[in-house]
Amino acid sequence: MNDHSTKPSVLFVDDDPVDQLLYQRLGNRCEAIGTINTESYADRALARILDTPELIEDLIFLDMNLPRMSGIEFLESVDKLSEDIKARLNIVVATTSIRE
Amino acid sequence: MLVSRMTSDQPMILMDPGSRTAPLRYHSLQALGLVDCDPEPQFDRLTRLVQQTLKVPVALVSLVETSRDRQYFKSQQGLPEPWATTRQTPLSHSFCQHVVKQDEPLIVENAVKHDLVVDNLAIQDLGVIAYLGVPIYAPNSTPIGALCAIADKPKAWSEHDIQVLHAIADSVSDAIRLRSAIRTNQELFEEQQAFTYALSHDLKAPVNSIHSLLGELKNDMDDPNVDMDPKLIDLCLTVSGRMKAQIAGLSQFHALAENRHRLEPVSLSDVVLESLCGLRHSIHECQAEIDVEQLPEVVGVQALLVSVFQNLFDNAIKYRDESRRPSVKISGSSIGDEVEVLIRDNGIGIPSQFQHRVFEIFERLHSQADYEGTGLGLAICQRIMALHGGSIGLESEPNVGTTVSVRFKRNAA
Repeated sequence: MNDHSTKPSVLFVDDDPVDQLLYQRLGNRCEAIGTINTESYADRALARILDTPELIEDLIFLDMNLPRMSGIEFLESVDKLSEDIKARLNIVVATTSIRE
Repeated sequence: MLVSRMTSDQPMILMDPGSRTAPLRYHSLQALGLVDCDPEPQFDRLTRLVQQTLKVPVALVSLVETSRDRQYFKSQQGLPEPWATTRQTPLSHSFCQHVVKQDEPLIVENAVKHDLVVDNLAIQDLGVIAYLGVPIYAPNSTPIGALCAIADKPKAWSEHDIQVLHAIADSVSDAIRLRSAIRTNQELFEEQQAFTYALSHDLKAPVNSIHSLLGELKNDMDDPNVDMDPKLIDLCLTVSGRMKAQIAGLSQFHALAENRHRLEPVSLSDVVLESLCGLRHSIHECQAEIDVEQLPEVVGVQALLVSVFQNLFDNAIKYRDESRRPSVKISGSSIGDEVEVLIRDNGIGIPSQFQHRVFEIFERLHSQADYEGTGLGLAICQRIMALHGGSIGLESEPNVGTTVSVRFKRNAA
């Protein structure tokens, strides 16, 4: 099994159950990745960052086109956070949308 | 209507609402830039033509707004101040209102001897003595104003004068119709853009999903050490099923753009009952309390309005708050020249920052996992209400409920 303590953990923020399953399977196949978590809503991910910044995953993959809080709104909210929280965050934007 | 009124031999293509021209949507005088806006050469040319050919000092394109107790001059030639600047008068000063009310020409040789207008304040304040006015029509063939020629001395109007004024008034009506056609086209173009975007983006996504899921499925099948994950098949079925619903919704949405529906008097009470009947199973399932007041009659397309109310009731029940018994209250009222129906629920509500989005095509506020949906319901409702010359809006408070307001124009379309 993977050694989760040394490999980077990943959070996928995506509301699509298909994408969630695909990311999960992709992550399991990838030797370099540790724990994989998913959130359907960006506001829940934001709440987790605010509540327990020390537990946030090493890498966040963010979908832009999300119900409720959009990816852009999430990024704008993150931008207003304190510098030491922001320093912990590594966010990768993933989108196919031409609008945003 | 106008064709029968034509006195010249010219064919009236633009006034044929049936076959050749695209059906036009309802637009208010404001939306068409016909009231409370600057004079425009398009109309000023025509009033000047009246002035010159009928040899009168004053010519007007006057739009009568009874609800605002005024006539507004989209174009005026030769009016004294302050009327030339304000470009409107109260109806106490309006001969044109009679043209609109009767839907026929008003011919006055001498106002002080004419029973209908002898007490009209325009005689003393605007110096109207001789008056010839013929109706101007909205694209839906209702009279909305008059093109008129005015003289400050008695004048015997000739048959030729009346014919010429009719022909020019028809040009005014055509100009208004053209404006409405351009506006309708603009709206259709914008909707087409949104539609194309929706097709390319929102339907491409599920195809990609199914493609990836099948790829994963093949991976599992090719690997003898791995059991096939049944979740892959389940998701394939879910996604393709949703896509089916989306395509059906899109077809319905697109068919509405055609706009070839007959408007008839419709009882909103019947519409609401029929909508509720279609949802009786889900209403029964969640024990929702439904309260319907007596509702007024409107002019519309029954089947389309049932679709609107079914969508709204479906939302009210789907987005219920599980901690309390769902309640939906339907009430109706008349405000001015509008009929408003309110659908008030006690559901989960919509946060204010998302409220403006809910009428957009394919816009959804919840993941499919929490609430199934195509993101088309309210977009379809909005389009149907636009076809009725009405509107739809909502107010909502999270955890309290949502009130959807559906408005109809009394004299629409």
